[in-house]
Amino acid sequence: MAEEKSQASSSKMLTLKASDGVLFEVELNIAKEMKTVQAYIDDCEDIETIPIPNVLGKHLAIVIEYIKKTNEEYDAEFEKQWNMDDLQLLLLAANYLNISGLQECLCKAIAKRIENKSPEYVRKVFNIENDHSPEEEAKLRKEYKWAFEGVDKD
Amino acid sequence: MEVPHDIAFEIFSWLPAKSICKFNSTCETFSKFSQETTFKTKQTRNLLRKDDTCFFIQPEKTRQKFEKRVELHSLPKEKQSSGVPNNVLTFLSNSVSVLASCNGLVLCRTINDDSLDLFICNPITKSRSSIPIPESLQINDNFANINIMLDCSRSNLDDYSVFLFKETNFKEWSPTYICNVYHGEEGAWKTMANRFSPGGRNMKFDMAVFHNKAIHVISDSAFYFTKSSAFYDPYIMSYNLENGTSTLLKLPTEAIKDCHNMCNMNIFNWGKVTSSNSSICLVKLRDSGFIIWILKDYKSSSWEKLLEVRVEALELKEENPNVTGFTIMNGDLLVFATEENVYSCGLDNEKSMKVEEICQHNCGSNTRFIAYSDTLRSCGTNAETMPC
Repeated sequence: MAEEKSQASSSKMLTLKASDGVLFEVELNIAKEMKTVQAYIDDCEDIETIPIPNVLGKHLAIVIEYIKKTNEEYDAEFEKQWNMDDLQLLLLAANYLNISGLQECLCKAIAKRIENKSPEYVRKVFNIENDHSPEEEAKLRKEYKWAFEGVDKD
Repeated sequence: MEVPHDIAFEIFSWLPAKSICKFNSTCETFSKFSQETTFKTKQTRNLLRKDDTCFFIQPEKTRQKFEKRVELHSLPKEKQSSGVPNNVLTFLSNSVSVLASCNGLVLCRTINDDSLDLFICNPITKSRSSIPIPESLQINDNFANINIMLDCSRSNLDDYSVFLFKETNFKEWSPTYICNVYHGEEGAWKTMANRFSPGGRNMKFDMAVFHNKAIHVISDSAFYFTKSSAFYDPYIMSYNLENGTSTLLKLPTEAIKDCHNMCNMNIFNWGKVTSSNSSICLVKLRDSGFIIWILKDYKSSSWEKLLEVRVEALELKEENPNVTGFTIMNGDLLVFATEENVYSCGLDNEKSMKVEEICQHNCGSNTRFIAYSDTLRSCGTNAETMPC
């Protein structure tokens, strides 16, 4: 009897429900890599379906696959498949779900993609306003003129 | 799409310092990141785990006193995103000899006529911190060699250590050295209890390698001992930083053969710092050919030959290239200079070694390389702004 019970708990499955209603059945140890989910489980022990309101099914699928496969080689190839928008959405998902390894992998990847770009490009990517005054901006561009050598054309 | 500030903060902390400076123009919030201590610490820590992106190249030490020059070049693919402000490089070029660099900090010696004047600086933040030299360590001879190394703590990012080996026992054939250590955070010098005994040969202190909690130096290989001497063959001597013991590491037999004439051998870190199987490599340049060995077992001094390559086989575009200096960067990249140019040669695949021309240089023969990575690492609480 005791044996059966422990077998059942080791392959215990959980259901995660993405924001667009897509359901994912995952093993408990996979779900636990998401610290947000772990906290949810800790709070309500007998839960079976956990809502993930901020993450689309498409991205939750990618996150789950990452957790299953992550290692040095996988990480190196992982980020190459996604465009900038997806990288950012995945980062927001990893941030919400609190998966530190994936957060770091995505931060590094986005940094790599923007490092040679212009401030204009970065504003577009992060959807931010230029709130420098024209004088302030001119001053900064002059002070850091050396850093603008070799910027990619947008 | 919009990304919250704390996530942008994380992303930016993975950028090299040059890119961060460029993005100060993006918006108010981003321009404030690089002023925050938590950001600078994060960026410093993150870049500790990445490769160095640039290198300093300088003329031979004695020549540099008259022809002051410090050049900084980026590795292929890193040119756009790495570097230092031009005015800072000019300032350094006109006044110092760069002795060492680690995680964005640069150890410099002001070129002057008499005393030893050292400081640590960060060329990106334009800050520097003087290193006081006690009377006992001061030198009065313009041409004396100083045996000095820099190590940056990986755990305490506000600290760094400067090691200064001072020769004693001048009358003996096998001099010993007192190891003095300056701790940046504390701002004080300490002397290690046990002296370093590197045997009878002259040691290449400026090519020291930190590994396994010890400083390793290789000896020269000139012909000034007889075969019966224990020091006839060149060797590596390590100095354990915890207990001060000196231990000899033998070189591979093939390396010792034909090494007494026209031969240049140096040791470097091999493998990534983050990897558990990082080691030491030995590079021998003789007769326009490189041979590289990796130390496979530390305790038994057993080496394994990695590869052997003739310079002419690299098909450099210049005629009759003569190698004047070399280094291994990032534990896997051979960077070497000829009289005119600097090249890199990837060592991860013996079958197809990728050779790239990096730049031209004006540092003459016997060029010295020092790797650099642009970070926002702090020079300490008593740091002042550099006058440039």
